[in-house]
Amino acid sequence: MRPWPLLLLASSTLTATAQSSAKPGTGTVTGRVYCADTNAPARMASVQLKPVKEIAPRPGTDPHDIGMPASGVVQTTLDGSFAILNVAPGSYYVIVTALGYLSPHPRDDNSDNSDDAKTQPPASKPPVTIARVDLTADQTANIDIRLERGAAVSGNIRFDDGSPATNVLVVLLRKIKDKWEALPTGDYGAFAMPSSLMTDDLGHYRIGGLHDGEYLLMATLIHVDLMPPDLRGPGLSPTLRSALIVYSGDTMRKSDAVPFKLGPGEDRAGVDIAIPLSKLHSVSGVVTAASNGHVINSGEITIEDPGDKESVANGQLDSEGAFHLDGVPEGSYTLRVKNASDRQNQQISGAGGMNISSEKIAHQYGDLEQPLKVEGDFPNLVLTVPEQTKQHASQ
Amino acid sequence: MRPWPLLFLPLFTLAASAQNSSAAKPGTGTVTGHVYCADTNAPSRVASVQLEPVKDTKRSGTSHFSGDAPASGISRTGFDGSFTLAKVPPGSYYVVASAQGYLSPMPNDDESDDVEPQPPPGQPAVVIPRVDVQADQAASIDIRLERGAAISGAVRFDDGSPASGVMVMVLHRSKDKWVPSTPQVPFAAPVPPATDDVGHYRVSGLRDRDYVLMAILSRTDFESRGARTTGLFGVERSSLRIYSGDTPHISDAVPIKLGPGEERSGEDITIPLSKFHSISGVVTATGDGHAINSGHLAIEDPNDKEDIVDAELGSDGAFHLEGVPEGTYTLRVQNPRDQRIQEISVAGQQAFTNEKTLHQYGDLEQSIKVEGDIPNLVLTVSQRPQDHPTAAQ
Repeated sequence: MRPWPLLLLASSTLTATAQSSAKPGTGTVTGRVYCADTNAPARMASVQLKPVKEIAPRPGTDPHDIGMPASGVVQTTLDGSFAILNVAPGSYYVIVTALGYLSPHPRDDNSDNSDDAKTQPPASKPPVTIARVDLTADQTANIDIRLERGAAVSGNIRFDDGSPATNVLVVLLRKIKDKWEALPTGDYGAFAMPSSLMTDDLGHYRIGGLHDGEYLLMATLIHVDLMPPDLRGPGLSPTLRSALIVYSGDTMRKSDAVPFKLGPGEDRAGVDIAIPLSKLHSVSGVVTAASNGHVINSGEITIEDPGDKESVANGQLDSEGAFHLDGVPEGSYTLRVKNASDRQNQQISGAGGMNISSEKIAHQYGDLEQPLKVEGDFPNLVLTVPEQTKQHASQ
Repeated sequence: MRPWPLLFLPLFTLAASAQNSSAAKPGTGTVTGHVYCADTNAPSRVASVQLEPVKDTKRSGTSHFSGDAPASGISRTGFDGSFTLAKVPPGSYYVVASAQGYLSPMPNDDESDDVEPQPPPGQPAVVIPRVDVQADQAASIDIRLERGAAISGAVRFDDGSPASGVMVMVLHRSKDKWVPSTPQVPFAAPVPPATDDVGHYRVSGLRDRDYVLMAILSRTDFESRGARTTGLFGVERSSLRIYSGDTPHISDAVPIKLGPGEERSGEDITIPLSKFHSISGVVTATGDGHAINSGHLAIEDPNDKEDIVDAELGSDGAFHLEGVPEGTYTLRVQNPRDQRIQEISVAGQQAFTNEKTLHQYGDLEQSIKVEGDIPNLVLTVSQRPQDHPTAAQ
């Protein structure tokens, strides 16, 4: 692990605090945030402090999860300035997030993280570093921070008949240790940069604040019904009817996806995905019990590519045991039914006329796995799930 | 109130239920159908469909729309635009279909306000399809969604830099006031759209009428309230609004007229930073002069009584209001109080906080003339007047 090179010399102007309301024994961190590309103040940027000693990664934790900021989060004013009061003495990273700008992460440069896809900065550019501040009691430390503009990618998600695909979840994937992984969205708690979002009414999306590197675009069309658990029960329970995933290159297989490269600060438009509806088929039917043929009202169904073991389509059974998976391309697959069970709804009458419904598993079935060759629509597939094997049932 | 003219004749194809009769609940019906986009004739994919019971519309003119969760659930259309709602109790329903960018006439829309203009002659009013459901029957209905108007543009500061993360709302006129237009799209983002990293915004699915855009710049600090308390508490330190016409005064806003289905781009808003001043200071109590750590501050335009800027006091009693142009205003401090935050731990592990008001002060209202930045304003609140003994109850 190499030490953090300090690009931004924290000019710790240690002046006596003039705040009357400051708690004794604590310090204040003030400063200004600028946009390096425009030299304008970064307005409404979020600033938080993270103790240096807490950054060391612990085994088994998400390397990007830095937890809740101890000192809270403040937003810069219209002149880019900020002040964080009542900070316990110590050494801190100053983490700044602003839409469209790079937020250097304390672990981004960590060689222990072995982020293979991360390219070293070219010799002409200094490495991205994180501002650090050392604070002593009853003092004010001042630090100025310049934010580098990140790369951005934008485009449209459409169906292959030309109509826009609205409300599609768009997620960027980056290669980490030879695997494509979704960019972490929870980097900074609720103050995350949008590395995923929904398309607008024209199917348009735009994701900014990205590091240079190689990416895949993943568009997920989620079909969720909100169904009443019981007609008298309050509230609606979501049922995932089907989730359809299409990658850049207009393919449903991650292994066939076409990655694209973003240079530092590049603004790339026209990264589009066409959802190949005309090549897709639907697989519908019902899941029944092998014993007496009654419908199973709870469970998950998945259609998996046997080549890369990735799910092509998946959904949940509705209360009538029915499933309807939209969007399966021609091919040979493995169809799986998991967690099939008979569920009973119980109405519990509470005080004040409130009804609470709770679900109870009445009977659990074994999993089903069978090959499925898709050459056209399957309108009425009847699947039967077996009883659980004895070993499982005894658990 | 006028009756709903029926544009879409619901085709009550009352066929015997061919559904898995074992699964259908006896005594209930099924509603099936297709949703189409009127502008493209393409199926409306992954649109939301829900049923709203038709209540006795003659009784009260205002709300015959329950606003409750729809009893029969919300279904989404498939790739062919088809939908099925099962287990529907018999009765008459409005079929409300909504898709991003399209108009979703709701039974409780403020169309029932008489201020709304009647549709021009020769043009049908937007109507809500209706369906009658009978026990053990399937009713079928096809719905065509009209494309709404859309408005887009960029929000910038007057130095040219983009204003990102700014909430943009559209307002329409209702009873001589501008009120937020909230397109009701189930599953859509519950928060108003915010500008992206280049300051761009887009609002779609709008009816044709006059609108005013409102850009809200909100600066919220998140405070930690105790070592063991998880979570942070947001305090809005300053919130300013700029309307179409780049003005902070809603009375000076320049309305935008949108035609049916009109696609309007380039409706930009410039935030006139160079004309803004800031007002900073602290709110203190009379007597010992200690800082008040809770309350609401507002700078109001005395002409139209609308707030220009408002903010909450933080735990330090300080305020920093930004975005006040030159002028004379009414400054208000509302609900000032000393508050103590108690940390209550549960089983020595988790903790939550409880806010306790130790002392309540009277509201403050004073005139303020802004000609430049006001850096150190000390506002003093006093004991509540004792001439309202009943208020203490």
